[in-house]
Amino acid sequence: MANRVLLGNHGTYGYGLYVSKSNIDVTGANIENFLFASTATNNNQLLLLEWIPITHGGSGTTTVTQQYANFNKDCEVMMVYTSGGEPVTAGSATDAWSANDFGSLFTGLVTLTNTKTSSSVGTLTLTATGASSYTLNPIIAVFTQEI
Amino acid sequence: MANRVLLGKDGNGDYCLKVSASGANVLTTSNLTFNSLITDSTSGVTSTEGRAFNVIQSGVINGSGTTAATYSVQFPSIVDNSGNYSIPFVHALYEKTVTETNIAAGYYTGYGYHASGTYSWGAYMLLESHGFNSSGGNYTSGTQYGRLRFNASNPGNMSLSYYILAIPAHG
Repeated sequence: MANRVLLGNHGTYGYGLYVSKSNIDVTGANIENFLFASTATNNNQLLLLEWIPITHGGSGTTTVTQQYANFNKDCEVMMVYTSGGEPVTAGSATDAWSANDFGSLFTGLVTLTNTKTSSSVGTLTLTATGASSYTLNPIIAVFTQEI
Repeated sequence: MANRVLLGKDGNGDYCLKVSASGANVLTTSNLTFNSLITDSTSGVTSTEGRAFNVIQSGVINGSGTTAATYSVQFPSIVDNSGNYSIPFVHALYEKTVTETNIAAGYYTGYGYHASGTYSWGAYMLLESHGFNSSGGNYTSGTQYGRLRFNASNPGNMSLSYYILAIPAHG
């Protein structure tokens, strides 16, 4: 069995905590073969993963907010829209790490902003506009990766 | 050099693994690149406990021909202690050589199932949580597998890199 966990001085990358892939000797592993390396700029932990539905009545602007614990990070956000389990569109997303675009039905009608409200609280704000009524069920994920 | 890895008890008396950013002292900073103590009690939030972005399975699918075709890969199903199955999060990068000097590219991210079959960037993604064996046939016994499929409208010269992540839907 290969040595897979090193807490100490790696010959190439210096002092740190390293975990290598299965059957890879961590002491000789390069960066491609680490499952975890404390020298990484971020290890991308998930802070939030929620379905946050929004129902728009066909006039004005509808707003939904959700706060989360941000651990003093101005986090990146991923948003995926779904409707009945089926992805439909992305609209636009501010501070988005990633967003899907599966069509044009709602393009431009929905926005997502992420604000570092304080050193402990982040706030997601989802808005919907347009002259038609609709409900979206986006999945919103927040990561520790900073923008 | 700053202390960057703490495996043990922190200043609050909590046992943990913490890693600080380069140049930051893990014993005093809030600038952490890994923190095993992440939790969230905010109203409306089910705490993820700082789940890491680990990859369950990855690979490359290379298409061929000019006729629409479906390509499948199987992955071990994600099941919780109550026997409930969950679809994993998928990130896929799509690349297709259109001409010798022109490459079309896109990506698919999420818990995708596009039953209507609308193509986006020349393909669509279908993801099923369980019910299959390792070859993609119907499950009968042993380890149960989920299935990730891509249907490409014109699969020739298509190269699709996929990553299946240990982030099940609904947390």
